Amino acid sequence: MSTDRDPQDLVQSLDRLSTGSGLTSYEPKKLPADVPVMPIPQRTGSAVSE
Amino acid sequence: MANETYSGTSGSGAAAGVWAAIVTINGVDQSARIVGEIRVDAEEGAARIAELTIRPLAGTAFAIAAWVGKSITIDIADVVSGSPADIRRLFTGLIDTPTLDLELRTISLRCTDNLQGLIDAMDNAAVDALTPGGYHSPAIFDPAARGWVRLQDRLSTLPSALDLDVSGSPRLTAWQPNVTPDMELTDAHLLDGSVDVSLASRNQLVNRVEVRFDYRFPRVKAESYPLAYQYVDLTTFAQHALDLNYWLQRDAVVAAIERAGGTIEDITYIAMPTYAIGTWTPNPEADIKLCMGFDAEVSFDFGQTIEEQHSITVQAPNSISAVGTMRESLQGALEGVYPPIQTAEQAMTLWKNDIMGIPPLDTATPVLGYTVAADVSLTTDTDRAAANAAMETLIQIAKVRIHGSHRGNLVRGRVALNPAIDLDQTIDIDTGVVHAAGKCFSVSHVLSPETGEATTDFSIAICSVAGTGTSHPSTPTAAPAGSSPSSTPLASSATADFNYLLAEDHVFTVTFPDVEAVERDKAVIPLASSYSAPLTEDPLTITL
Repeated sequence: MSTDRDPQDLVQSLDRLSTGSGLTSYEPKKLPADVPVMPIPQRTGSAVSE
Repeated sequence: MANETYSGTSGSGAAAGVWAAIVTINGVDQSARIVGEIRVDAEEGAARIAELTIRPLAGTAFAIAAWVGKSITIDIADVVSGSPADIRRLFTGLIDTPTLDLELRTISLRCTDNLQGLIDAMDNAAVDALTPGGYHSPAIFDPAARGWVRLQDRLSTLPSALDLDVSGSPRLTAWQPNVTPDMELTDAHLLDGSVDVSLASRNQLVNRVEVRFDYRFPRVKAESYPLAYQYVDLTTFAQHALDLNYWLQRDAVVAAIERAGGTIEDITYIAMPTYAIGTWTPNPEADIKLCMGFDAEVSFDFGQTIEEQHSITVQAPNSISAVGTMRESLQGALEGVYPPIQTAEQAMTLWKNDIMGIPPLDTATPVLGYTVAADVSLTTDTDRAAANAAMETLIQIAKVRIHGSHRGNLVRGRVALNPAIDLDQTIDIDTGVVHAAGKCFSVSHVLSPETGEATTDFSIAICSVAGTGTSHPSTPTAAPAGSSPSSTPLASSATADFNYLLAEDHVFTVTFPDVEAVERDKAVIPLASSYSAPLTEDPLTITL
């Protein structure tokens, strides 16, 4: 009887048929570079009163 | 309890157990053709595997199609009475890999319960139905992930394991063992010397997960300036007229404000007198176009980028006290989908000044004397609800990661084959030296028809770090509060000036201050929050 098989063999055999239990699609993510905006300076408007 | 033994292998009373293995392949009983031992291995969250060897009748032609993918079942029966009784299922699955031994004329069969294939064939709704209470966010996981990967994504947010039962049906089992064990095994059931304890090493533990989540989105803003101006009143009116100074046209007021880019929300003119003053006499048709001054509310619309930087700490404080801090980190980000700031600003200004008839997506409602901010209409995949879902998913991943890392303690044992021992069972082991109770983590049934031996090796996972009976705090998984749009008083004032003297150019000028950098530049808002990850201390007592 060979019940004393190396446990690692069992893990490998299980993983092979279940193709990687526990592997998720999570990946660390960072924000992309942002688009700079221009400052809004003093605003002036004028018109001639005839 | 009746589950601790199986009469076929443990016997009944003084009578020894007599068992038989029943193997069917593609619906045909092949039990008589089995040689060597039959092995069925199962581990939490993985496919159940069976291995056995069959010797076909001499002269049988081998065809791959006759074996690969064919269904197989393995049962054990109590045959002490001479006929099969109390038949129990050990395995249901498919033949994955047949291996030929031409010397011995045997075929070794490697079989799987097809867990991954079954899940991969499911649509998202079916996968989600298998994992009630699981979290999912397309900002954290691959939104295109299907089947097995989607299941793993959801399981990473659940303190549970999913596998197939011996009949091939999916089942979700919580890591936390039942309060009342399904079976209690003692020295009377456990084979001599078979109990073994394997404790997790410290470096496998995680008790603090630092989550960073950045959320960037725009807000629209409106600043509303009060602008009051008067260049002449009834006391100076007669001299103004006598000097032939100019009167201010209402159209010039409107034109100057619009050329400054402002929107007139409200304006009240100080009308010309309706009676003669000095050399001046009223002319109603012309005077309606003039004014002595005005009181206006002028608004400007613009946008600002907001970047919330969430620092979320998920930790198990009692574990940290016991073994020190063991860190991991997670990082996520989400950007609100919206037209560029400049495009949104143009849309607001063009529409509010009646230059374009297409309304902007969003505007802030002006409040006189303040800069007012408002949230915008983002896509459902990137709005506040999506950001909250993403953060809750990360918090839950962290909690489950912490819980899972503390389940690395295994207590193993071996008994005469017991089909009732399976991954969904809570097993209590009490040998006097070791007393433990936990969810079954792995099970291996080994049947050797030639020797008559049939055993079950199993392990139970024990969550333990601070000692049996320790209570661990838990914080509900709810996203931390984000920032809110606010109103701030204007820091500066608008001004107006009219060159009304006869010798001047008669230009009316309005000036509005620049937009403060704090209102315009990207606002980075750090937000910190903390959560306690729940742990359950499974019973584990070892007396040396």
